[in-house]
Amino acid sequence: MNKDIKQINSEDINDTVSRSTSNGMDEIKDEKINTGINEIKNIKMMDHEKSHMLQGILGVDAVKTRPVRSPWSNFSSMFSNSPYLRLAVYFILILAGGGIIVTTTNNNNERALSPQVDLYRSLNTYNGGLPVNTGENNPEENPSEKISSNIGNPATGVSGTSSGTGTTSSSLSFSMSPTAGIDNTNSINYIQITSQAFTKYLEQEKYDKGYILDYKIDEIVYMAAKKTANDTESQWFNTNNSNDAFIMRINYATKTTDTGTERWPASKSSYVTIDKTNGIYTVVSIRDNL
Amino acid sequence: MREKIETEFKKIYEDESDAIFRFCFTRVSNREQALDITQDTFMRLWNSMLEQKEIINPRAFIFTIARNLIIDWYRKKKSVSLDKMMDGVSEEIDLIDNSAINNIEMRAEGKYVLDKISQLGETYQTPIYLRFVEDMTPDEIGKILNISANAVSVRINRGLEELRNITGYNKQE
Repeated sequence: MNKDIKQINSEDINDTVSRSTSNGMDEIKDEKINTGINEIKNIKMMDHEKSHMLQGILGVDAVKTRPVRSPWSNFSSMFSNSPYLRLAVYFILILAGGGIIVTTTNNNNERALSPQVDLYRSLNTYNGGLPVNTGENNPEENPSEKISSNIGNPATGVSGTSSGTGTTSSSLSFSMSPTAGIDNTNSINYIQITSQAFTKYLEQEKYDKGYILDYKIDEIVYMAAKKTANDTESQWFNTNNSNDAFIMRINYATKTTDTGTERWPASKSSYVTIDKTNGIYTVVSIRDNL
Repeated sequence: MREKIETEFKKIYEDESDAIFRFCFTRVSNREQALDITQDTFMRLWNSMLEQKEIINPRAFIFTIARNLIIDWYRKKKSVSLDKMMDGVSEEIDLIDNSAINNIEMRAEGKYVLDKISQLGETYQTPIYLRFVEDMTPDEIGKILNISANAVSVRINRGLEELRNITGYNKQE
């Protein structure tokens, strides 16, 4: 008993890091605790329990614990076991990815993966500062370079060579308007020049604004010639005026992002003034009325 | 090779089986449960030895296993109070089961001390028990509890002081 008491107190002293107030009197007073500890130490297994347990343990071979198998292990092992399959999957992924990029590029005019809605702007809304909105049938190069400027004076019957793009109606009218100061034989020159100049104008509009998808010219009618584009209206029908500036009535239609590309909207009629500047016939004004 | 391992195991079993059983018996509600945990503990030691794992301190190793098994058993046994969870009060596992004390056949002194040790907080219970009942060094206890030997020493001294306060011995002449 005394040995047990001594044991606790001596080891207690050895273990102490922050010792509280313990004194020699406690050694005797802890006797009951030490007696109780000895009682606890007497708790033991019975002999038959001990031997039975030992036999049970020794009779068992090593139970190797296995990690829990992941449900994805079959899928992943398929790849790890077959390098060819893995290569094939990579190849398919690369092809599919390339296909997506090609498709989006074609659909969205080289703006891969961008939503198509960004390409269209309402006719009545601001363009949004898009650099070049390349809508359907909209050439990317500047149309001014596509239409030759070498056009002769229509009054002299010398028409220059020109080329142009855009849609023009096959039923283009060459009807003459009963106005003064025009030689009927030269009317076709006015119409040809107007067709080319107005086509150039529309191409430029398409290029600049972006929301014009396509256009067509139904009819071009000669109205009058005037000296310059700045002449007042009263001077237009003066027979002595130069043929360098003239006014034509044009019926045309445009497909826009508002109307869509499925069908043509109703044609509108405008009075277009064309003037020759630096040897090039250009549209200088478009009015709804004379 | 197996014979060598078996001999080594038998020696550990002979030396420590009673201590492990005692450790379990004072913490679970009945003898059969204590025997089950003891067997499970030595089974794991046996497997580890067969797999030729390096066991530096077998004593600390099996006590660690036993302690973890007891904690697992408590978690399965005790229902968690929803109110306490909502209040954010952590439920401390009381390692020495009061009901187990009454089931243990021993004299009144032993039950008395066990009861007083069970009144200590969990922080002091195990260090005090292992130090004075199983005669373990602070270093061994530290390995089981995964704390430093220094911290174990502090806990032992504070626990001992608390135990004296509970028993009232420090107030007597």
